[in-house]
Amino acid sequence: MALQKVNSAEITPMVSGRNLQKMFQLGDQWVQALRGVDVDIPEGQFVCIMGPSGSGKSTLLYMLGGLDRPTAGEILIGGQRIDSMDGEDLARFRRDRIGFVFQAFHLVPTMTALENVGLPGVFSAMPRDLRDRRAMRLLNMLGMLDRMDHRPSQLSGGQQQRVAIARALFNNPPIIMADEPTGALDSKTGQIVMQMLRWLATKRGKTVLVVTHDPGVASYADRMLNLKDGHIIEDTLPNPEKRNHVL
Amino acid sequence: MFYELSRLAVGNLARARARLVMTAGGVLVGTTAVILLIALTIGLQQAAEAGIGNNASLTEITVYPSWSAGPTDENVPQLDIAAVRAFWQVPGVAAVIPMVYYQGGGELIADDYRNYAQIIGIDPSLLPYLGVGVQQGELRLGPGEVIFGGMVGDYFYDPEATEWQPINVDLYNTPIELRTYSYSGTDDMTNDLNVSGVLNVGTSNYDGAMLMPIEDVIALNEWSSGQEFDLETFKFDQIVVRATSRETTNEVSEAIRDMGYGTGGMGDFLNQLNSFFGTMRLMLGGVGGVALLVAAFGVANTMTMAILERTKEIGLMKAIGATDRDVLTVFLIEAGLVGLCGGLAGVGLSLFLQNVINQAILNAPAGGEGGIMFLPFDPAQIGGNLIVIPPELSLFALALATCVGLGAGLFPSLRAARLPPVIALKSE
Ligand SMILES: Nc1ncnc2c1ncn2[C@@H]1O[C@H](COP(=O)(O)OP(=O)(O)O)[C@@H](O)[C@H]1O
Ligand SMILES: [Mg+2]
Repeated sequence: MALQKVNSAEITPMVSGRNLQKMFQLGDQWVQALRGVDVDIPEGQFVCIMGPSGSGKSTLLYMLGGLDRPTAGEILIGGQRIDSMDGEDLARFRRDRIGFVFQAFHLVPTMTALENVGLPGVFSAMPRDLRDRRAMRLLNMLGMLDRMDHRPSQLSGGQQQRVAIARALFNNPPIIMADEPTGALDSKTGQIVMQMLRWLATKRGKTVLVVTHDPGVASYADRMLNLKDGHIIEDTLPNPEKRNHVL
Repeated sequence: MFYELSRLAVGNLARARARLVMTAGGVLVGTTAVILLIALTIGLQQAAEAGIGNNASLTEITVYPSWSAGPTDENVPQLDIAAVRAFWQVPGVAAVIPMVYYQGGGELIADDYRNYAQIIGIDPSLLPYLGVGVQQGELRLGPGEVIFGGMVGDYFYDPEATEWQPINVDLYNTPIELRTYSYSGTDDMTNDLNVSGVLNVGTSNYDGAMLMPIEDVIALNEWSSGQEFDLETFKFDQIVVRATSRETTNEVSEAIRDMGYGTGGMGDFLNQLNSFFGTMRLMLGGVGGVALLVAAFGVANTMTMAILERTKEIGLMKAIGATDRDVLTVFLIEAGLVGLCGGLAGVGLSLFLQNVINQAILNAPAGGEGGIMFLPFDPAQIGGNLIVIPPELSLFALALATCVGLGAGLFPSLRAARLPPVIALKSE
């Protein structure tokens, strides 16, 4: 896939934010986490969001993924406004369009790997056998099939994150959003996770947004957004030859 | 959708068994208390009703002229043929049974023995509505036939004897004669009786009586008094009204009272009894309800804890596409299932205790001395069923336990459903 021009005007971007602002109330004080962010991300791009702690990375990611609402500004996903959707539509939107991966994995501790991967299917009323078959296929794709009956506590951090990625892929969403997916992993397992995300962008055409503050992780990306105090202060395209080095 | 969410809820409960057992345990105790206390009132009520008499007496209404205006008042409605016709029109009436008593004197003769019996004339076609059964023969009154009350045969006596000594006579198989005395100058009359049946003992009003076709009794009265019978002015000695069911008895009674008559019968007494036991049931059920309420707080507490514990799980569910309503549904089903499980266990425990208690009472020494003194009746008489759990009570208790679970889980579940996903995911 050819690298898209940043802020391409000709093609409808997959993810698009306009003048995004977010205020949080902390006691009687207001914190401005985002101070007017404009971003367009074309389909299939692997974007890395970097910046110091508290710069608004997670806030931006959750907002673009419909987990939170902006105080001001517009969000378009595939050309569709999501900032004005009602809660139920937004939940359905997340279910069908976004796969989330978190630093803390957020697997349900009482469920097996297979059940965790199939959980999104519960909310789309998918029959159990279909759910299990699809979950198995995804676990197989991520090399975790032999652990499908294990509970999270029986899995290493890297394995748990792979289960979480499989879960994110369950409804075959066009967009994967990961908030510090390697933050709780050692660097070697972290690399495997990043390779998988890279592979999803390159081979499966997913649009991938990864929040991290690990510069090593950023080398997998097509594009890097650097955030500081709620502003994008840098928007760069790392060496295009470099981005395929893991394949 | 609901099915998948239910399975998720069931799975969640199955995986947190310890919590399920503890919470459901509270509901179990509450449900058992409600069931046993209500079952006790049902048992006592059935025992009391068994003491009143058979079912037939509960739909029977005895009508008499209401003398409240004074016996001389011309306008007091009388038990005449107009009354009979009017009673037939009352909704809920199965039969109106006018009765004529023999007004003269007489006696029964079996060989050397004698006895008396009230002669009651009724329309033979209304016999089935009398609420009586026969121990010998048939319930049938052809012309000239009689049916004896169940105890008439027990008290014959020897007129020659110097001491009172009741003699038992088999009325059905012994030739019986009826001797009647006329007050209008003619000689006594003696007729051989054609006995078609003998009633069961305990059919209240008729134990010491004999039934004859109403025409025969009217003829006897005409013969005895020398006065002619006129249907339009005749006043029946008694009118018994049979209601279609226990439930309608009260309304029929009331309708007849509204027409200016007095009524009596077990039905009225039963209504008082029912309202007494209804009050008792409410009170005892309320006591059990308090236990269930305490259990409800337990469920609410557990659900709140569960939701605090599982805040991240809720955030995750929302992140992967669960709507508020999905989350609410899952947690409500969990809460309802906790209630239902506790209810099922409670029904099971209650049925078990029912057996234990009833068995213990059955085996307790009979009578007052050394027995269970607080029982107002002989346990043997009710077959030991002090605790009676009808299926409806079990179903009611199950529904109640489920509702308690749902009610207790509602607020925690609503809170869970409304949690913003980002907050839930970030919680520690
Ligand atoms: N729910 C919240 N309530 C109050 N303040 C918040 C909340 N979430 C984030 N913030 C604040 O917004 C700013 C950006 O947070 P965040 O996006 O999490 O930063 P990052 O992910 O870059 O570390 C921080 O100052 C943080 O304290
Ligand atoms: Mg963050």
